[in-house]
Amino acid sequence: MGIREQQYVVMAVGVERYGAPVEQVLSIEKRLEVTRVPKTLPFIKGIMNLRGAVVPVIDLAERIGLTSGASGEDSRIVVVDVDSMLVGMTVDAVTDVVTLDESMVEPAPSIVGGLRAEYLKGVAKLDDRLLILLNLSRLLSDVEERQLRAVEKSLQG
Amino acid sequence: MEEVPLVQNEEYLQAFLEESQENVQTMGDLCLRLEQQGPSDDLFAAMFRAAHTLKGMSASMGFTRMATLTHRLEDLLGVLRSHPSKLTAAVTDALFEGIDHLSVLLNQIISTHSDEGTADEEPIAQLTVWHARLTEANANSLESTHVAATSPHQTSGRGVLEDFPEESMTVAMAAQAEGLLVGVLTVCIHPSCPMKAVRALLVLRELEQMADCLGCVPSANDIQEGKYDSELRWLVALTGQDEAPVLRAIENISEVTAVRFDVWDGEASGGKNDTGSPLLEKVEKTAPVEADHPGIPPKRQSGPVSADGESVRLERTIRVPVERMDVLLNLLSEFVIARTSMETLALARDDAELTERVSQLTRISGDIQSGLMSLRMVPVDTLFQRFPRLVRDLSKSLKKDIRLELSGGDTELDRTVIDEMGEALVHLIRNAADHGIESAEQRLAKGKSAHGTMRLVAYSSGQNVYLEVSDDGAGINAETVLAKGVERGLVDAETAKTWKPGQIYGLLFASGFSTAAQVTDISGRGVGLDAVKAKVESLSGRISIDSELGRGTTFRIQLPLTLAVLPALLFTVQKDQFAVPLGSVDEVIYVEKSDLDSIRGERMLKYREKVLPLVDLSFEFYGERTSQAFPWPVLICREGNRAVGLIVENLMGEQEIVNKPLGSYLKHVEGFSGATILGDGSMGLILDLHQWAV
Repeated sequence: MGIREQQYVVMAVGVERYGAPVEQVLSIEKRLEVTRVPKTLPFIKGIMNLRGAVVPVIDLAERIGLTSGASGEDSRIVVVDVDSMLVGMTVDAVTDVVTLDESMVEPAPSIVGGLRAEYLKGVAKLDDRLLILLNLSRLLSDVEERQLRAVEKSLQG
Repeated sequence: MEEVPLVQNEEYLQAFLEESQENVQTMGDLCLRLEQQGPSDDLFAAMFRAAHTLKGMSASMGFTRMATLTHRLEDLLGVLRSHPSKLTAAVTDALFEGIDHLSVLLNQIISTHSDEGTADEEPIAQLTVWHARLTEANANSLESTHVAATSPHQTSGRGVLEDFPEESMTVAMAAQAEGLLVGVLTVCIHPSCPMKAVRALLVLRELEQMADCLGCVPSANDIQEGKYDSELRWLVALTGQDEAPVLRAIENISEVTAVRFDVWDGEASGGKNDTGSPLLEKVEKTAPVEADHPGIPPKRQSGPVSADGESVRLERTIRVPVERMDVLLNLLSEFVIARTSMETLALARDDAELTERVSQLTRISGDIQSGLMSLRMVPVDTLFQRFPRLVRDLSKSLKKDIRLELSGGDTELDRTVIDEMGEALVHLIRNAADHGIESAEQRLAKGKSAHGTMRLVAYSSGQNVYLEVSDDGAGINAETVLAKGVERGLVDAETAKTWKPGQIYGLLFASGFSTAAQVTDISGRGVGLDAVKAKVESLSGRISIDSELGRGTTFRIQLPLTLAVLPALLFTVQKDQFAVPLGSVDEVIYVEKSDLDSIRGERMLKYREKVLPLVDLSFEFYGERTSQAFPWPVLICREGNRAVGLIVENLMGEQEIVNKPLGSYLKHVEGFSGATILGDGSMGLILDLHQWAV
């Protein structure tokens, strides 16, 4: 693999495909039991017991502004390790691992799906379909910000 | 044999640092007592000893700056010891500065393994200047008893004081006059022993446990540099009745080939050999010498000697990084979880034999757990010991006479908690000194003693340890606090009227809240108390304030005894499992409809002639009011002087649980201190009662 190449885990969410950098993916789990956590954001589904560790689980579809629904036979929880923080993301399926050359990656348009460009590393054409590359650090770091906004919203009615 | 560069030797360095830190701390404490109680020979002697040990150790480890500094301290102490009246506040300050600088050097050695590069001219110069000033009136420095250079040469042992300098005779006589057994201890060290300086130091340290060393041949400096052939001689005054224990302790040091004690029985005789013990030859260096020597009572074995014959003293304690213990603790947590799941399995299968085996496992894991916990426990003293100095400095800079009383220092707390609590306590102490305790004039005007008293108390009760910082100062003016709170918009004036003092004091923990009339250097910037509260709560603790206007204030911190494993009560809400620390639950009751009351539309519970607020957890968690039939199980939980009833669904019984933090991603989640993995592998959230009971 060349120096300008990067591997991605390809995840199906609804009709779209998202890529997570392979070195940030710790494991891919078949559905584990998720215990819900009261009083938190809707896309946070709860916590799971990942071999003795407490790992929060989010619904990736809901997080990126799509309708949730990862419950089918192929659904998986992709556990990512971002800056030593473990988070599980439910997806409809994990389809592939692909190697992309940097030259294949284009900057993201300002909004893709429900996501602003700041949450993305870029997009790549793969087999004539779009693969949306996630910026996981950004995607998983603004949870407090969102919580605050949710609280403000509920206060204002 | 070539000297090994000592600093390379981690083991020695560790032992050196450990001992030195202890000695520096001791010197600081003693200096404080010196200042408080005035000069006394005991204090000078003890400080002098500590300085001397430090000097010797640092020199032999090659830390020359530290050695120089301690040497100056030793000089000054020597003069003071013979002229106690010369101890003035300024001299004490110079001593303090010197001691402080020793800490700086030690810290530097810890981080860089060298004492080079710190600017230490200032404290050294200070000490030197004072030394010169005090000796001007031709004071006779005690340093001289530490032996000017007599050239190290072989001695026969005849005339025990022959090689010792003149002054030794005087000192020996003085010691003898006090009824001490005085004599010369001759220790032979294997000539090819590596690191002779350290070896001699080991002997000296052992010796100092049981005797006062009055002089030595060769000179102290030569010994420190390892410049001796094989024989070392100390003029000693034994603290015990006879020399046998000393001889045995020293024999047990490896590389010591022989040891002998010759009694010195007065000025005239010059010593004689016939009363001295025979020159004991060590049979084997690893075999502790048994009591088959004449005149040695068969008692006090100075502990086992390890296989490689290293000194016993170095091996009585080991330093283990906390992280390594945390790994073990995590493993134990896993074990407890696995054990609990076996318990569940055994119960489900109704298998008596399996149940028996599991309960055996439970016992063993319980023992391991308490053993492991005890390793993590350290006495609160380790935290307290820095505060006398802090209070002294605050006293000086605030120009208030503040006395500090410590109690319960032997109360034990988890190491992590101790490390984390230091800063918080410093905040509280500064606060108490600055805002709590009044100036002497104000105190006298109020009919109080001119000096203020601050108390630092630790005690344990149940699963908790309490730390209290109290002062007998002005107390908190609740009205001022409340007015400030209303002004800052933290509470509206109407609600404020119904508040009890405890609630009002709670305002002090709000961020940026300060009632101090003026911001001082010490405190009053309004940062601090909120940080203290955050710190305490991050350790699953609580903080509360008691205060009486004009009488004083007490900050009380409650901390859990351990952080890792705790007994808990399990229950369900909307079929989800939750746990609450058993220590926070007063009672579990079943509530009928007739027990309910309503105040201003809020559902309340009649409980023991009182009315408690009732929290419907189902509503709080999921927004659905409980729909279950009466009687409802209700947990009565107490939080300080407030109590609250929590409506739950089903009680699942008690269990030991392991508190696992929810992690940084969920740190915004309120109301839960963590989660635990239950016996069946499922998870339950652990309630942080503090957030539900308010």
